[in-house]
Amino acid sequence: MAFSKARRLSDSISATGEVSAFVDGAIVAADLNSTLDLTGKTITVANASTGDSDTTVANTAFVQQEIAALVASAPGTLNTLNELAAALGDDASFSTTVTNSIATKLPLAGGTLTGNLLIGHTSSFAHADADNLAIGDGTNNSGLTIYTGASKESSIIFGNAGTNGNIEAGIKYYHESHGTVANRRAMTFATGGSMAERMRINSSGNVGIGDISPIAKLTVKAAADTIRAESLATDAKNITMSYHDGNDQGQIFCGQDGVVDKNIVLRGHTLIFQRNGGTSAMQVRSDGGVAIGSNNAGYSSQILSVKSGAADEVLYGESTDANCFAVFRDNSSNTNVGFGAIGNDHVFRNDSTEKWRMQASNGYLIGQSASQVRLVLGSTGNSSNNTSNWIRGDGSNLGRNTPGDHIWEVSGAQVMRLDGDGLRFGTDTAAANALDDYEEGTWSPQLIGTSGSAGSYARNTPNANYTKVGRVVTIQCTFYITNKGSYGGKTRLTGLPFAAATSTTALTLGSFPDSGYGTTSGNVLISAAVDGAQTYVAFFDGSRLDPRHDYADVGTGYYINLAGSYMAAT
Amino acid sequence: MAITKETIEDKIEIVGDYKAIQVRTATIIKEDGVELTRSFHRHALDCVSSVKNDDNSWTHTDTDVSGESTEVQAIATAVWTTTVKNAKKAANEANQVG
Repeated sequence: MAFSKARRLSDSISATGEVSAFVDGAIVAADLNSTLDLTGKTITVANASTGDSDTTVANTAFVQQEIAALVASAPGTLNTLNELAAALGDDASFSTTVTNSIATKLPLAGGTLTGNLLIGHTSSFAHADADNLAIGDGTNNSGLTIYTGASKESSIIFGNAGTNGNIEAGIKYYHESHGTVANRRAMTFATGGSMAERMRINSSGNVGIGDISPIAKLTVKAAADTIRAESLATDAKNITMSYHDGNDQGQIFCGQDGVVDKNIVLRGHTLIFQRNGGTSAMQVRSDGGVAIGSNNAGYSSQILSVKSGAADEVLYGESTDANCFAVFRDNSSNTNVGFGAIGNDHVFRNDSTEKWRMQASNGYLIGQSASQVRLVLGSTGNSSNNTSNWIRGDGSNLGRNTPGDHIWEVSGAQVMRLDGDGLRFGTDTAAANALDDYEEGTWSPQLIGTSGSAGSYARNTPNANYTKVGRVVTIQCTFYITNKGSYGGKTRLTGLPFAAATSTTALTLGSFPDSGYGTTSGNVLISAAVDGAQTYVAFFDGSRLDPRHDYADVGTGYYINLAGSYMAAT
Repeated sequence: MAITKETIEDKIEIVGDYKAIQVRTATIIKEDGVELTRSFHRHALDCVSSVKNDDNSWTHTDTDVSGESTEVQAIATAVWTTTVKNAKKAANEANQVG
């Protein structure tokens, strides 16, 4: 019986000793025995609610309920204290251990890493000189994302402990709405210690070096040397710039054969060199011809064509020594034919033998050392005026013209001058001394009388010639008459080639057809003279003041030989 | 190859105060039309021929040019005017030419 004796008595005897009816009062602790053995008994109590906490008896259901609430949804491997302890490493100082461990980690709020950072990487992959941050395992995709606002820039900066605020170089990316238009979505590269931009890739993918707005895939601007491409290969030295159409035609490269000189080779179907934004300056044509000049219209299969649009000088050559020549050779010849400059002179030569020289002093030297000197002129033209000097040839004749005089000199001294007046000698300038005429010919002398008629007059064929030099006429005649004819009067020799000037001029008689001529008994001195302003020769019996010779005294079969000079009328 | 010869009066000159006419006749030898040689022959003509007679009178005779070329005749007609001829006569007398 679980109730105590006192309880049981109180239930049947009242406090006054009366046996009373069984009292069904409240059972208190005192009503129970000090021990209550309920073994073999089933005691059922009401199931308390989770969280109840009072002095009422808890049944096993309540206990299980509370345990389940404690475990809640903890995994099966961590739903016992032992498992929890095991999970904590059975470390009674787990908190300290964890605190100490966390103290070695980088806080979310940021901090300083004292060691290298390997992301998806192993130290064995890291470069010895760049192992502070290594990303990727060498197998899978890897990368680093720098994420910022659209109006911001992202940078990778290189710095040191030196000057320039520790900043030496960097890479910067301007996001889509950051900075100027040229900068947006451009990546720039800076070096040199001050973050000065050296190169950029703009939003179009164009690379600019020294240019913040590159318009071509590669744009390089620099105040000094701009581009240098160098190959250090020992055999294939090509540095190639080409366009691809399957033939790889346009190239600039350093040819493999350039072992010594390291030749730069420009290769293309047609090489075109332009200036002033597109004006053609030079072309190397596909047939090998080179055309130089702003206008190539005249080019037609020449090896070298040089043409100027406006400039007078189209070709310029200069050498550092005294001689500068352009040389040509026909492949059938072994002689180099050249022309060029020696000092200030124009010179033509074969190999090194000078053939023709135009001196700076306007003198011309032709074949100085040649044994035979010729100047061949092929012009058939003529001069329409006298305003210039010229020498021309037409295959037969040589013509020379000068607005002034033709002057001949010997040892620098004038010996002859030809001008409009004629030919003068020495330095004489007198017009009267100019030789302006020369002529040779024959004439027909007739020894006749001043009256009567020819009748049966006859003579042999005369030998009669004249030479006219300037105004001086020199005549000569030899003949004889075979029939005096019917002439009378005075004797005359007619048929002079030129009319005489006004002065009478004596001539010389070698013989005369007068029976008394040359004899001591006859008219021994018969003289002859050209009468002034006449066209005949008169004869005198003696001197000119003597009577004129009578034709009646003329004999036949006698020669008349006459010679002399007289002045011609003008 | 054709050799030809031609004679022309290639120069007719009028000289002096009394219009003396000088005639040059050129003889030209040509081969196939190309001149090879040219030689000259001359004569001169006065408009008047004067003779002083034994009685000191003068006889003046106009020059006969009928044997000359038509061109020379035309020139003589043109330039040998009476004035010229009279002047010539007077000059000849004055100079005792004849």
